Amino acid sequence: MPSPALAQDLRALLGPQGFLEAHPQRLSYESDALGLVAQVPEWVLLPSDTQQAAECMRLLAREGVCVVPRGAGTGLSGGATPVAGGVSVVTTRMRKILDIDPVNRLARVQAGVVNVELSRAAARHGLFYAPDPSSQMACTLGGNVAENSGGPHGFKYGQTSRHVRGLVWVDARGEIIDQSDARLDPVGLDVLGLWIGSEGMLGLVTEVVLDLLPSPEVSESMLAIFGSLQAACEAVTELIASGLQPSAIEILDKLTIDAVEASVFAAGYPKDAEAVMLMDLDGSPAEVRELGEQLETILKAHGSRELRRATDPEQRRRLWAGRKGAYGAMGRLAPDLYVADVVAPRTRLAEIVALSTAICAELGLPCANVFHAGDGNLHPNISYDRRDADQVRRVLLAGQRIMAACVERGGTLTGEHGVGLEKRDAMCMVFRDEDLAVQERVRQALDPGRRMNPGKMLPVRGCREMRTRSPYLPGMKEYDA
Amino acid sequence: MSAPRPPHLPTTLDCITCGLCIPTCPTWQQTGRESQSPRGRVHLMRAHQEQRLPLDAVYAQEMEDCLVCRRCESVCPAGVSFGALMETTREELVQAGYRAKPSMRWLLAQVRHRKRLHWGMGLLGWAQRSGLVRHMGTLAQAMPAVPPSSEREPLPDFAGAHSPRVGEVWLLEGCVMPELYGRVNRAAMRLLQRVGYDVRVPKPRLCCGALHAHAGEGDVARNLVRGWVQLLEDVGAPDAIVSTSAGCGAHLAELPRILASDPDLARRAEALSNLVIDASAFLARRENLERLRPLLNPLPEAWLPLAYDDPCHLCHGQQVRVQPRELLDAIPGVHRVELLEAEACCGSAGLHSFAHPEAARTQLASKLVDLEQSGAATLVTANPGCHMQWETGQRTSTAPRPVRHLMEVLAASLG
Ligand SMILES: Cc1cc2nc3c(=O)[nH]c(=O)nc-3n(C[C@H](O)[C@H](O)[C@H](O)COP(=O)(O)OP(=O)(O)OC[C@H]3O[C@@H](n4cnc5c(N)ncnc54)[C@H](O)[C@@H]3O)c2cc1C
Ligand code: SF4
Ligand code: SF4
Repeated sequence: MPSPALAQDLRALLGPQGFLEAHPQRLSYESDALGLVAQVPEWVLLPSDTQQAAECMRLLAREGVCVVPRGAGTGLSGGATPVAGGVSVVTTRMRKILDIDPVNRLARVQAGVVNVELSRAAARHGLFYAPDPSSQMACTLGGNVAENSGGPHGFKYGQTSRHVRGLVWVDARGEIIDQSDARLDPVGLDVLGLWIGSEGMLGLVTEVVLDLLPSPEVSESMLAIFGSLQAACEAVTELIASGLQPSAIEILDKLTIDAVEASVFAAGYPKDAEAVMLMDLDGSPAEVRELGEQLETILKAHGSRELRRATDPEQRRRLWAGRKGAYGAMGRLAPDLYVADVVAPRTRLAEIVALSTAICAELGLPCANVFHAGDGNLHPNISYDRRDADQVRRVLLAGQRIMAACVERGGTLTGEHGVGLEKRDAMCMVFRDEDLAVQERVRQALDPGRRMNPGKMLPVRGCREMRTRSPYLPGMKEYDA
Repeated sequence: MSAPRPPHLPTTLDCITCGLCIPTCPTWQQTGRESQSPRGRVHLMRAHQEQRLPLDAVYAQEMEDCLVCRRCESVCPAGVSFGALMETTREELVQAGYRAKPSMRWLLAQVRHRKRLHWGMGLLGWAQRSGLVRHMGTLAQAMPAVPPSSEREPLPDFAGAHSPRVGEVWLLEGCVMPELYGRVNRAAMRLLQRVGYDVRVPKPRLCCGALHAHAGEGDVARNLVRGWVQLLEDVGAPDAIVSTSAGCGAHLAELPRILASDPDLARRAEALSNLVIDASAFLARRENLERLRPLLNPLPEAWLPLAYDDPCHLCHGQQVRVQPRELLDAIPGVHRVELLEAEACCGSAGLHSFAHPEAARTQLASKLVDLEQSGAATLVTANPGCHMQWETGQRTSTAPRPVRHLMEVLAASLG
């Protein structure tokens, strides 16, 4: 327990709005969007800029207090939950867009700026910020950096790592490290690369410099309706192989279509469809026209029985309504929703979707699949009730089994939601102790006291030891030498 | 899966903790604090239900600061009935002794007694005109200018339709509305008559109880509803019960929920709820709009362009968004512009602007900037609370613009 003297210093630094000690206020930070794990932080600190954040970290270092960075708390892997105790340092009072440079197409923002706010501000200059997580209306850019977030349009534009040009962060000792000069981006060791996706374990990001892109001249949405999921997936494989590049390729399976159409998000997807594929096409009018024709040929050849196209914003919104509402539609079936985040080889998408559904069915759980087909990133959505201990056990087991099945077939654990707490031990499915030791050494180098977000991402026990204790992960066999 | 529950009972379990509602919340925008956001508030309510969190002053304050603007409901993918949850929570808090400030309780006691309110307003108007108001409390000073008594006459009990008559409606008079914006009610009455409705304003003139329900005075609110149900059963149902106040309309349209503890009354109240409709939605019904359209004339040039600002309890509470715009666009030669954040709360929020004047001013400040940037010459609203709040903003503005209720604008266009 940190000392009263420390509390007094922090209170003096941050004021009553920036230093929360009352139980109810702290309680609201006990978990992120993964409600399964909870731990109330000792205190909650809300600094308003880099200097203040550094001052906080210096004070906390004095007593060796553990620090859990937090943005909007929309993470789905428990990353912002202070499992190992300590304080939460939250960026939601750091919401200034510091600069937009339309000539060099760069933006400098404070870490707590909400993703969609940047897109809105950039739009005034005919620019946009490409990574668009489905949580973009709430998640922070700092959180996006920490999780290397993607989104539906990641297929063409890539994930956050492709758009970060500079960072300012504060390390565990309270030192400010400024790597924000975009000119230096490719010079020297790729420290930014190390940072992006580090899930709050290397420090607290306070400012981010990001690339902006010119808004496409035309955008068109296309909905293809399929009588079989297999056919839809094969169409994706072929259109990628032919080098076509729509900006987004999303697929919804039958169960998702049923859930969406039965809800307030009904988007008019045919009830007898086995899958719908949703695409966005960006570019000049000629490019979009040509791409549209090429896509049409491939989609039809793979048996798409109907194609709907739209350029009008309202009509596009309607086509996307079902995709955007899928999460909510599933969420309405039960109090809680678990969203898995595995990546499958693009040639085995249909197989793995069928498998996840079967795994869930075996455990008596409903599962609907929505996926970023272009990236092979699957999101099996499982509705459950966290008050039912046995359901929770089955949900977690289903998550493990789906990951294992993916890994066995050449895929991986997470596409964009991060490892956090939830997939920490599953790291042993894809890494050996020796591989993880390297990651641990990097972390030690930047945070020798291991005070930044402890207990996340890197298994706390050796994989070998864990495997002997709970040999429940079939995917691990082949790594056990 | 959770057990089925009566459709009207709100539950914190609907929240899937996604956090998508957070940035839309005005109190979060001001503080950046999770417990001042919709997700945070629901989280605390749930923790309390799970007996992990006792009621205390901090909890009460986080709940009390909520504007009940219900913008979080509009963005929530899981369909959380936030407004309903907050009413239940506040009722519990009031019962546990966490009551509103005495001045607010006094105000609440006044609004449901039409006579007392009328006298009070008369007195306030006199104090305003004589300058005495400067020596009165902050509450009195925050009140808008009270119109002369000729404008504060109650509506007649009945006004006949212009031919051809197509039906009969009731007009909800409201509480503050007749005192401060009687002209709005008279405008609505005239519009309804012109499109062919007999307009009845049945006696006794009851308060709807929305403000009381928001403040956790559930018993008062339920008693008022009992009066309404009885009135409807005694007088006989009209074609519609038309409201010029978004707050009253939203409240009366959700009665079965408020009465969930009394299923018999809830069932009877359903008939009432089904009839309640905002004046804009009613006039924009196809058959009504067809009759109204030919009656409309161009507005004075100086009024244009118009900007419509969505009252929270109309857009978030009743999903009425297009109808007011449709009506304005039906005026010949009209020029209408959009505000950047038309669905953001102006800070009025029932009694909130009186209880938290500072927060309400901050809230309004960004709306005033939006208005400025829109280039509008008239701000159009559809709710008395918003009307007052916008007028307060204009008083300190360097380029004040008139604020008008949608019904006033339409009636002016009748010629
Ligand atoms: C409905 C919904 C849809 C989603 N869709 C997507 C999607 O399409 N793509 C996707 O990638 N993700 C998605 N997510 C997951 C989540 O939104 C992202 O991971 C997002 O980047 C998290 O941002 P946040 O601000 O909420 O971070 P938080 O949840 O607060 O934190 C996430 C992690 O980042 C760390 N962190 C946060 N801020 C900082 C900082 N300033 N410095 C250092 N570390 C920090 C935290 O310690 C934690 O480990 C979705 C979530 C939901 C609820
Ligand atoms: S009702 Fe308004 S103020 Fe209250 S939590 Fe919802 S968005 Fe925030
Ligand atoms: S948007 Fe709805 S479900 Fe999501 S956190 Fe807010 S209230 Fe809960």
